[in-house]
Amino acid sequence: MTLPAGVYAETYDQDQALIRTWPQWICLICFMVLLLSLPLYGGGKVIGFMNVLWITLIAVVGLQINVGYAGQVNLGQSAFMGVGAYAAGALTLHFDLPIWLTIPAAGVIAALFGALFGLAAVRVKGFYLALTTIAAQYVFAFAMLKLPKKWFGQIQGLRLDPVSLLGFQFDDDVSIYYLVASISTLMIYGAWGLVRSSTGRALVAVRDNDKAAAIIGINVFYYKALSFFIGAFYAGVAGALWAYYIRYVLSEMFTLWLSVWYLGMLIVGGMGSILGAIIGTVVIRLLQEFITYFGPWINQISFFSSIGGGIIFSSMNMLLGCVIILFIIFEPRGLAHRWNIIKESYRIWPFPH
Amino acid sequence: MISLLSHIINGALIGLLFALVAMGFVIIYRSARVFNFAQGEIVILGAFLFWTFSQYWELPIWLSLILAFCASVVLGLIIERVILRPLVGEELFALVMVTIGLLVFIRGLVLVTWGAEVHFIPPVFSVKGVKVGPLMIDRGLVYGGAFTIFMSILFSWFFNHTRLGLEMTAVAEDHQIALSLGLNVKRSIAMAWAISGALCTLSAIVFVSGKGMTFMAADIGLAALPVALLAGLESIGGLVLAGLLIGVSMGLAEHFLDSVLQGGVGAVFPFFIMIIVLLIRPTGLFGWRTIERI
Amino acid sequence: MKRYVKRMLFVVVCVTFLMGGQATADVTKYKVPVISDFTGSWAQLFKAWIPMQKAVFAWWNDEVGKGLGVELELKHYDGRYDSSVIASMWPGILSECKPIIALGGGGADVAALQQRLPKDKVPVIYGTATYGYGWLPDQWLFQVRPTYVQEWAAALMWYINKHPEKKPVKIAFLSCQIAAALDLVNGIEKYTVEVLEPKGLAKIVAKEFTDVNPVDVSSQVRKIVDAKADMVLGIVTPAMSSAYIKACGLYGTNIPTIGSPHHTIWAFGAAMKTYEPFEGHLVVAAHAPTTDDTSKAYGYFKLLVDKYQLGKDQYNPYTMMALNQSILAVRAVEHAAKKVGAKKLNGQAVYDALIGGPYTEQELMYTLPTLEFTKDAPFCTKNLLVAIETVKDGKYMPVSKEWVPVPTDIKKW
Repeated sequence: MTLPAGVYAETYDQDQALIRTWPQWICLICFMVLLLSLPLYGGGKVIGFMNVLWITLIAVVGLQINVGYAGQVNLGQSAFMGVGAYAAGALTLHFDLPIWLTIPAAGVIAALFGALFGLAAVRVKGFYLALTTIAAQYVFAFAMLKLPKKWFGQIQGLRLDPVSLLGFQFDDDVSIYYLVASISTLMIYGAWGLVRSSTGRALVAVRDNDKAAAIIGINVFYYKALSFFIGAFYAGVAGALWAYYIRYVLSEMFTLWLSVWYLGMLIVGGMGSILGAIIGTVVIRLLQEFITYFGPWINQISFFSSIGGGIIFSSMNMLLGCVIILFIIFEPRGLAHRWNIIKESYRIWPFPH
Repeated sequence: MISLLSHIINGALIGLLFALVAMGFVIIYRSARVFNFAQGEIVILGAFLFWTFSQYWELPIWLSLILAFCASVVLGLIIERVILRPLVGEELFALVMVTIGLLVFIRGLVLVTWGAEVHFIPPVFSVKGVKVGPLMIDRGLVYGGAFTIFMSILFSWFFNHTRLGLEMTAVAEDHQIALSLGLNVKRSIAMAWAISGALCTLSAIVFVSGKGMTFMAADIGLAALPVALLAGLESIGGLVLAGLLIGVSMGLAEHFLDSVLQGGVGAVFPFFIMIIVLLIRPTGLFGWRTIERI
Repeated sequence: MKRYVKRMLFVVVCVTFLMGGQATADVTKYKVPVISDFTGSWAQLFKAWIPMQKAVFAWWNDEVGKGLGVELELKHYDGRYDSSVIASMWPGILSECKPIIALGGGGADVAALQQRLPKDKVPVIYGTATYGYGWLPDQWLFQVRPTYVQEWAAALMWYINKHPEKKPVKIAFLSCQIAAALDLVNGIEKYTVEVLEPKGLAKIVAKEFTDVNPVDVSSQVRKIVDAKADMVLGIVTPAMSSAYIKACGLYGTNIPTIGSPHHTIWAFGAAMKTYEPFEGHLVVAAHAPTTDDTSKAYGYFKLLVDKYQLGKDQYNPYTMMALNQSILAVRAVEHAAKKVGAKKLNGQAVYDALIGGPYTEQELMYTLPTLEFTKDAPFCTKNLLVAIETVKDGKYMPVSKEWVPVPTDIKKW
């Protein structure tokens, strides 16, 4: 990756920094201000979309660390989110703990559940691991229906009242927006730091060739379990926020299909970078919103409604499948890679390479 | 006592049906090193095609069967050519994800073409049950079990004792080396998908004959995964044993634990077994134990 | 000067047109969002609902709305029967439609929206029956039907009264692992154990479970046959129903089941082109029977077919739910508009109208019994009535011309 002319690093910290020049700082600050002041000028639709987007971002970034950086296939992210949601719900309902305790606690509980499946990752690889994580989904659904009613409500699910922090009630979309945006920003910032640290490098080493990594002294067992722990921690936090947003937790809300969508977001965005996770999530969510928004309108066009109502909606599945397949065949490194190429060509213009 | 026997026998037959579906997985894995997550969807696609031929166009059943088999073979070949050939040599993860994309795509296709209503499939096997002592067993399941055992013997012999089968096995072990030995990698992979397509339709017919079905029946693809894993993803002969084991244990679990835990144990039990097996013996009962080299 | 006059004339003409235009626009339009499902697990149901909803709203806009100065416009949204999708769509729906009332889909949107509706102040009408875990006070959801358990209990009591020689009637459960099905089983079980068994009217002899899409249920049916059950309850999907019929065929028995019309009998009869396998089975729902061509409800349907482009084959258990939902919704808006006027309608006004007045059977075009909502439950809790249908001699028909009452001693479970 080339740096713009005149920008160079003199210390290690500068070399590793994400933001190097003051225009970049200004862009970042403007963007953050824009995002945080969104409720002031965005409509209800935008706020609703952004709320779910922030929550999904947390889960997908966690998945990226697990799958993209450590190379462990994980199809159970939705189940880990469910564990976090139930944990947060149960802690709030039964023990009345404040949310600055329950959200991290939910994350940790989900992380422990995830690490359990991570232990399996030590023994099996590739497809086998994917299957084990699919099993996680089934086990989660089963367990939540069978554990005692007083703990997790079984079929009734958990109903929550709006939570509050320091007297600030989170009971409508705008207040939830601030909660979710701030926690999400924190977690993403943490993720970026994580992947540039020695832990991140160890995970990448395990992904690239775990036998060679073992030879040079990396504790492969520990790092594989750790990658699941971290990925599930993120999913747990996302689940807790989800529980506080919807205020109703039921195991049927966390399905295998949701996990598949998350992986699809990673593929579209590009595996192996946090930016890829973010881009992928935003693109897929926009695609879904586009179809939801224009669907009824397109349906009205007589050509489509003569085929049969709802064809546009049913085509959503086909579209997602197509998108995943096309990206894998033609753009296997995702949109983040495409973006990097654009950045590169801009920087070294007018030279071709 | 009788109900215990009923659970065991029915469980065994259901396990053999899962083994038939799993055989489709294993044949593809054995030849192309690709794990086809979309197997369940291809199964119901075969069933819907059969429905179209027999109910929509009202062709006689034997003709519909033949057409459905041909159609699914062609389908397997199309999938291989369009989606997998560009990805020969790509890493594992891409292959996993592309079949997941295929799963989503085919589900959408089924929804768009046939809708979400219940479709009734005419009974292919006679509806009279088979009498085993005091029990009545569904005839379709018995035939299915017989097919599974027959097919597994046939394919075991094919892959281990015929030239074509050995070529396909060699391709599975390493594409590069097979190419360098002059084997036709593309043809092997295409054949594997074609055979798998036909097997999918066969299992679909056993599964849904005489019943109504919707697109939700594709979940059988996921339910058959534990059987494939228990047998080891490269072993065809082992599928029968694995199917029986999983089926019988499902039946036993249902019989003993359903009343205690209010049901649902049967569906999740195979996954428990799968996890335990994976931890003890990661390559399943009869899978190849590959030695990884740096 | 000439040009100036021309311009003035032009302006005057424009203003007159605009004012004239305003004069004719004395109908206030309100958007009614409809949460549908085109790609999820119940897509076939929702697809059938849309033409019926459109027809009823068109009828009401013409017959009643014009007179009151209200026009209701339906807007469909695909929730994919997934609570996360619905939860993320809902804020957008609120700001886009500013709804005074909404039409709901089923369990998924109940899960997503139940907690926030009191704050958002939008009443939502559902055409399906309620689940036990939805039986809570102070809800802004309104279900046209009581719980499935109450409906099934009515059918059970009807059966027990019809066959006094079978007392105690032996009940078996065959159900699956989804939350809704377990809820039904718990409710009927509690009612049987606490109320029916002490009176010697019924008892439970078997409790079996299977998958939502079972391969084969013959082992479970075997146990039910061995227990000599008279009645099987708990079958909640067409797939379970067909597996059950197949297993019954194997054993040469045909133990009747009780179900809801959209779960069993009709879907099969239409696909298999015969109702014979279901001889003696019962379906029950708290709406007018769809098999009766002579009922007044059918008369209303014919009106919709003749004047509002509804298809002739659209009178079935699926579309009946949409009919119930739509008719209650439009009548609720009607009551509210009569009270506060067409221009001042909002969610709170419609909510008050729903809690306030009874909705007579006649107003609901005889498709539902008289409904009276209170704050204790999302459904009408007084004078519950149902209609039971069965298959007799191969014909799918109602068991009686009148509504059958629901037992009043069913307690919450």
